[in-house]
Amino acid sequence: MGAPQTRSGRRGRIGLLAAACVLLVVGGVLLATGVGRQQPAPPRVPQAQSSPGAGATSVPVPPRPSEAGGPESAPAPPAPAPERLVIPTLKVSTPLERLGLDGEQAMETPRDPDRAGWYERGAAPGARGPAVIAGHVTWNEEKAVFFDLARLRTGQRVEVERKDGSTAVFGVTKVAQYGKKEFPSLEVYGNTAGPELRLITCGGDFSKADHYYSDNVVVFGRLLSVREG
Amino acid sequence: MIAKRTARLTTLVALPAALALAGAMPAAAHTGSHSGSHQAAAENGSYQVDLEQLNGSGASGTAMLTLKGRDLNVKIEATGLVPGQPHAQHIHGSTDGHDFHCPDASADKNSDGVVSTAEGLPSYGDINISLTTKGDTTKKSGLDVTRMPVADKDGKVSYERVITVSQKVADHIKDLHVVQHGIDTNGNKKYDFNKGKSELDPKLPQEATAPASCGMLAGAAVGSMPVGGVETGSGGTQGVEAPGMLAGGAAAVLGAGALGALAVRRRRAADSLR
Repeated sequence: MGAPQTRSGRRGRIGLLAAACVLLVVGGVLLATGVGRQQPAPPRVPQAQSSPGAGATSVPVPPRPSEAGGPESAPAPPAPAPERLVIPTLKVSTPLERLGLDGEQAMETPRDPDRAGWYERGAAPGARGPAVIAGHVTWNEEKAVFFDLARLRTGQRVEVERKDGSTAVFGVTKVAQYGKKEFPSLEVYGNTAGPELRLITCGGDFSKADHYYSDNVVVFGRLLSVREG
Repeated sequence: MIAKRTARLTTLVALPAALALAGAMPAAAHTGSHSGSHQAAAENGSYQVDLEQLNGSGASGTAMLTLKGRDLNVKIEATGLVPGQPHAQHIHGSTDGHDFHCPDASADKNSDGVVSTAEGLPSYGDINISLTTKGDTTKKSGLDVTRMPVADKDGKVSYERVITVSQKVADHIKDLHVVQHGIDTNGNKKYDFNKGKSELDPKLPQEATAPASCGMLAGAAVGSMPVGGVETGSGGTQGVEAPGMLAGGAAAVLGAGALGALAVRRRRAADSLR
């Protein structure tokens, strides 16, 4: 009576142990992969810099270009179209897509999360006015092109390579974070005395439920020089 | 009898035909206006208004008017206004080609130091649109201060509204200008009758209706201002990624443990039987 039962019992035990081993291996692999996919949340704009107005025009950015050209004067000649954005301190170098408006009159976002996009209805980088470039911060739980944008600091350089081979070099004047509901459209998109730059991405808290970041991070820059190609 | 029936039948047939025609007419008119006015289509886009003080009010601001078809998005950020007080605001000017503009101090005909709204009218034209916070936006709401934005404690006004405008306004948007009203000439932080009554509404003080700032439309470098923030984030990296993978892995490991425990228990049971 004992022997057959023991044999079947042993076989059962071996089966159970084998199954346990398989589960352990599968589970271990899943966990390791899952843990490997964990990414840090995107950096935030430090409080001191994030308040509007703070951090503006402190470090080596030269004074505003002369405001001689008032709104009445002839418009500045159009700048060549931008082709690539380079942010040396963030090791970002991206070709630029073209962005327009969607049906809700909101700005389109780049189709490729690894590329930034230029809002082509606005000023070209180097022309008078705010040239606007937007990029994703994250995409499907992966870092995207502007993941580190909030790490930029006043005085750092941002370069835009243009179709004619020249490069427009901008200096960061302000890095700020705004709730999307309080997005300062006029400050970001309003007319400027000289050529300026706006880099925009998402920030703040991410709501998994509605795939929505609460804030936008905006980097303000001013043209320092143009390097001929 | 037959004639009557025929008549009725004709009516029955004619009615849908008429309706179809009526439906087709606006469409035809629409097409016509499109082909006939490339100029009107070119008016789509944003116009910036730099609001500059009138009457020494110290008020200033920026407005952005963005036209898409006949939808006009009006966004205004202004500072230096009388705190806690309502500020009537309008789009003034003519859509008939009259060249109105913001007045200067010379418009003060009675030399009381204040260019009143009535004194400004010959310069900036009549109210075309009342920039109310809700409801009617015609001229007749021009002085309905209960529906005008109230400056916060720092004298700031933030205003945004989309208004459906007439085709005439859409076609002549560049001829118009924005005026904000409400000044405090004696610095007592409220509207009172020190400058007399408003000639527009004697129940209101002159201070409440006199213009505080005015600005004319100019091109916006942004071309057409996008509405709101930018949706540049999908699938955040904040929190837990690949939750299914983690949960599955954890379940599998737990399951392995359970099976192992079961195997051990069976073995103990078998041993105790021996």
